[in-house]
Amino acid sequence: MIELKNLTKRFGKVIAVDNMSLAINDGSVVGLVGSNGSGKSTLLRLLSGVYQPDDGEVLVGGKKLFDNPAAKGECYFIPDFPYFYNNSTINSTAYLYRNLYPNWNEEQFNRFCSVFPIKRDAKIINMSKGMQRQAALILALSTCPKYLFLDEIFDGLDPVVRHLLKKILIEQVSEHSMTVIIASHNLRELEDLCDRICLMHRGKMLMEREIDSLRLCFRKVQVAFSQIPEVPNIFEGIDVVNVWQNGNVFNVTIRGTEEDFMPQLNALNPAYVSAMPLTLEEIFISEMGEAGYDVNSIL
Amino acid sequence: MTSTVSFKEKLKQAYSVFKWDLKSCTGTMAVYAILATVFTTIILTLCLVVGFYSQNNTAYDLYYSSFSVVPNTTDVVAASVRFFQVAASQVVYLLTIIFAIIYTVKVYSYLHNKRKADLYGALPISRIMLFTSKSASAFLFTLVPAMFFLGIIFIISACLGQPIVNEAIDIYVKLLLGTLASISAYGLISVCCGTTVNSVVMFITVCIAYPISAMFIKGVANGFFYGSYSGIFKDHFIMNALNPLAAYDGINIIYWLIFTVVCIVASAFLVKNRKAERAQASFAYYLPCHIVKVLVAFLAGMFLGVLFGSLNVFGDGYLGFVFGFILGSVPAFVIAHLIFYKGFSNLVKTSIPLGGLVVLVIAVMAVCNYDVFGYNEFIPNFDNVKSAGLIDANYFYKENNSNLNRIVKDSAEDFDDKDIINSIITVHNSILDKKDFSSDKKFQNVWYDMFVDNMNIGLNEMRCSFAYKMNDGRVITRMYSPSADNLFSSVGIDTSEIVMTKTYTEKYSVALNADQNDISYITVSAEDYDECTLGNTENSKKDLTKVMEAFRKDFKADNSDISKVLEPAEYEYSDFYNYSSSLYYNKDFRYYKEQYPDAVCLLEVESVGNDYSNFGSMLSMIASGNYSIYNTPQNEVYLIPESYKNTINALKEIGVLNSDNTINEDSEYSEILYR
Repeated sequence: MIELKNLTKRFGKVIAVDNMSLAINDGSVVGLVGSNGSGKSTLLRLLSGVYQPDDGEVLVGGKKLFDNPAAKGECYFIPDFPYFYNNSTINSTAYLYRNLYPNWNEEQFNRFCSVFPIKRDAKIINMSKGMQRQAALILALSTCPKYLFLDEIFDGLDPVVRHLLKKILIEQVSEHSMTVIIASHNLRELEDLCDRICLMHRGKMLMEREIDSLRLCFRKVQVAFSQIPEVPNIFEGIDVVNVWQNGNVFNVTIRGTEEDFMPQLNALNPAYVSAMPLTLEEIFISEMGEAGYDVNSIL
Repeated sequence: MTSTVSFKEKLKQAYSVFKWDLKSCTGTMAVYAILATVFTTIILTLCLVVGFYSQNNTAYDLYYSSFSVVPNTTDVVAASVRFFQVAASQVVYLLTIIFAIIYTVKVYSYLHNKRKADLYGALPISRIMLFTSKSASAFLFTLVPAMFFLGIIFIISACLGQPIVNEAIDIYVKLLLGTLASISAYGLISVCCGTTVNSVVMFITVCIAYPISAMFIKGVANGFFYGSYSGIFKDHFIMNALNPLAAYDGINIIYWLIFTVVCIVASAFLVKNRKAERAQASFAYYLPCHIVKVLVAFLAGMFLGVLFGSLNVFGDGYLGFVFGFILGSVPAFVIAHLIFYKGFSNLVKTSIPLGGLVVLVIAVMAVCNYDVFGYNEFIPNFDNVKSAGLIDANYFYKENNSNLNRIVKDSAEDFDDKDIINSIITVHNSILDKKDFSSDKKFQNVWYDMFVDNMNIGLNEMRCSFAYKMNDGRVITRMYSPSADNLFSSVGIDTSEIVMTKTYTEKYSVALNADQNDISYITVSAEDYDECTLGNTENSKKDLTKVMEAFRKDFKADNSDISKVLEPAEYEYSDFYNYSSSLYYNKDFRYYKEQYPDAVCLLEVESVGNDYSNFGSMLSMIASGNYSIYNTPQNEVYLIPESYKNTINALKEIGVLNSDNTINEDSEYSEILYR
């Protein structure tokens, strides 16, 4: 289990992570989404023991992580730009990890080397961005971590490898109860993979929820009227996130399920009503809009 | 809740990091190995070829002269191999220093790159263990290949039948010490800095700025306080305390070992709590940055300040100094800030130390310049002096390893005779009367006193010390050595009234104090210019000892007016200051025989001239750092009257004197000059 207790990290005057508390159960896949500079990467570095918290604490498996080799041995962090020495190969880096990570699995290493389309004796630094990430993934998965922290891991991976990665991660989670935390702007991929989503903005956690319940929480509703009702507020009593009007047609994002808002909409005698769930990206945009971070406020 | 990793596991992890670093440095090490092999081969080839075919080569002459070896046909190859040892070792030494810099910068760069910080920060190894294994990598990558190649050089030499020469062995010690100190110091700086550029710039700045700043402080202390003696010279550890490159000189071994340990411990302590996010920022810990900025400002300020002071700018040395110091220190501080901070950010906030420095230096220099405590011209009041002492550098002997400060302090109890004390104060006054205490002169002295260590000081210069024990028990000492304004002129102070006394002779003469091994020979001369010299051979040493023991017994028992015995010594002493050496030879034994009918012979005693046996040479030796220049023997001549029965009997027993007190021409020690 990962626990964040009043976690704070400052960089000078900037508060990158602001008094954050969170508990993540083992065997879950959590997506960290948020605006640029919201503190996602900083949070991952705090989780992996690269950064020391200024306040609060990070407990991974009940252990404090910072400068704790035993606890770190169960974690693996792939940053957004993984570092490789000029002459490093997968094999040479594996040499280091083999002795450092207590759960290193040679069979897994050989297996992943054959699964990912990559040469293990080639210099990693000469590889493409996507292949470098594959190299990092091979090494990460071979350490058999209980906790895997991935920062923008889908960036640069082709669709096939993305699919492969998701499959492997799901396999590891189901078989070994691995906990995965992925920070990404690629919400489509997170939607497929994660069972929980944490939405961050300016160092704070705006929302943290099961992805299924999140989907159920929002509806995109299209309502058309032959004559717009002459009332001061058409959608009064409905939890509307935003509204976009085009003539007699309204596109409304509503927080809640059909049971919550349909009776009130039907009472307005619409010519046409349809409701469908939001994609994660749409939820993200609408939530961020509520936090004052939308295209209109930026422009 | 915490988990632990066993020590064995920790070692295994550290070894893995070390081997990984080794792999990443393989290319650099290959370049080192190739260069070392090529240079060693070139030097060996050249040495052998030159040895066989160019026996009169200039380089060989130089080599022979440096080793005091007379060239001949048979030892040319041997000399070539020895030359190869020294030359090849020097090349390996230089190559090692260059590659040590490359390895060290590379190894510690993991602290200065955000992506590397991610990689290493997430590894399951403790920060201290990681830093320690990185440091071990830097040490071993430097030392092991160097030792390997030096070993190869010695094996080649051994195969060619030559033992290892000391110069080559010294290189091992220098390399080991220099590597330890430099790498540990750079490691500490790396932990404090956020970028590799800042680390390298800071390391170089400290290595250059600290020793020169120390020289300025020493120059001011010696130049402004005439008669003070700090005992701090070029090779003193203080002069290079923060310059780890000085450890490559292979001296002050204990200090550099302590320095290394302190740097490693401080690094380990700091690295544990170092913020990883400071990678690629200016600094992780700012204190060293402030220190270096102040150091640079001090150096630039002192340079311009002392320059303007000695040029008497504004007609006053001190005003010139103040102007120059501000003109130098402020821009230097700002430039250092711009380099380290890459801009003007925090300049005003971090300028408080500069303000403190300027105020402090100007205040201290005011105290020095205006001699607020009256140090320079202080001579104790006669009535307040209980006893006093004077040591003349040119008439002094003390056993090896004597502490100069202690000797001078102890001399304060030498004379309690009021007349002698008065004479000492008079001599002291005459020295101060000749000294120019003007402000610009003091600043000019700073330049001289900064570099005095490296100059070959003429022994004819007046050097003497004064010590006073006051009625209240305090001991005041002054030691005068040449300074800029009297370096090339003879001061001509006559101390004979003090030096030519029984007390002084008993305490500081060679004849009365030297260990028998430190007396190179004694010469006995009498009428007809006949002489006997003892000490040239091992056998005569025993007889020499016998004569000296007898003389010491007689001298100590002599309660009469001893001026007669010391007159030849006094004459030689005044002759020394008059620069008319020919006079001495005119005053032979017959001259004294006419004056003193009871005179039997003259006894001349010459010391070995051990570096430590003479006050002047001791001072100069410490100052120069060159232990071979001041190997000056000291001569003393005594008149032996008939009352010195023990001495006369000893001379007769060893066959130097006949029963009628004439020189025995048949003595094995006889040297007939004229007949």
